[in-house]
Amino acid sequence: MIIAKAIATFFATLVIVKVYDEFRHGRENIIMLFFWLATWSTVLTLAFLPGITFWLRENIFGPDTGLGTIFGIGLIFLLFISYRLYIKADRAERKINKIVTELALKDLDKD
Amino acid sequence: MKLAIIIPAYNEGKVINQVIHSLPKSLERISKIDIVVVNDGSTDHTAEEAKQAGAKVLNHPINSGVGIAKKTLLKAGQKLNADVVVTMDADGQHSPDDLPNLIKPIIDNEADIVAGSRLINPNGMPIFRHRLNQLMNLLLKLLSKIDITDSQSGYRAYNQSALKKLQLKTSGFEIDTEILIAAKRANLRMTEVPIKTIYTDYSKSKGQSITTSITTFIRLITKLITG
Repeated sequence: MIIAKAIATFFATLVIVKVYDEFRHGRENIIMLFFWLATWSTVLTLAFLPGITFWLRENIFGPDTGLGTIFGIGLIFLLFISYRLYIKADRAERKINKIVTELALKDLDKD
Repeated sequence: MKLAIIIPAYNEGKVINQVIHSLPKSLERISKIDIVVVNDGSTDHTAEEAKQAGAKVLNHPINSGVGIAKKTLLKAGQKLNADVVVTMDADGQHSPDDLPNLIKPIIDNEADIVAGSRLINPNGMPIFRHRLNQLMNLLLKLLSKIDITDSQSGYRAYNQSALKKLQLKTSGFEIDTEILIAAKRANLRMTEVPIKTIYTDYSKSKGQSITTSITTFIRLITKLITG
């Protein structure tokens, strides 16, 4: 469990420092700062107090639910988020590429 | 007939002037030659050098990659309304001496796209690049039934009909192959002519790296499978 705590601390520190730095330089808004702080605080809490996972199973998912099922649901959720991010990034890239081409073609009219 | 020679360039300030100056000022059966450089967000003096050499320069505000630069140049060819549009690399690996042979099938209305092939006579081509090209050609033949000796060549000629019908989606180095696939789908007439390749230390250093080649290969497989 020490490995889990170390990994969680490492990544949480990395993200929080980065997000705070982005916020300080005005590149990130306060809502996103609190969102990432809350998310990584949850990760740290679960890493340092693993008993919460058992409490969640007992009280929310039901005692018959295996831990594997809970992690499986989490994985599906993460994969869905990854897919949505991919689609959004791809659309943004296509739009940027279109604008880049249109701006370049305007140079033809200048001559 | 009007000819437009369009060159995509990224940080080619060292050689672009020389490449433009090496291009012919007149050609048989061609009444006007336009030289256009698509400057793909270079951070060096590519745009200034190209302008100084007499080319029209189209500037990408950011570096978007060779695929987008080629899309821009194909659209520029359409906008210039040239009868023949030739694309060539900016690193000096393509010989201007091959231009008459490259554009002849278009002028004679025997083809819509003419691809210059380095592999009909591959002398001097680095062995890794040669084998990779052969692998790409084989893949293209197996999956799209396009029989061509050099699917990766950037030295090509197009007529207006080809420029209007090509529908392209990719944005990386695989665009040269995608053009062939799109041409086949649009029932365009394609042919190949042999070209010489000038391999210098500079042009070799500007070519695709092994990593880029592998990425291109994977993207190409994805493209061929997904359509």
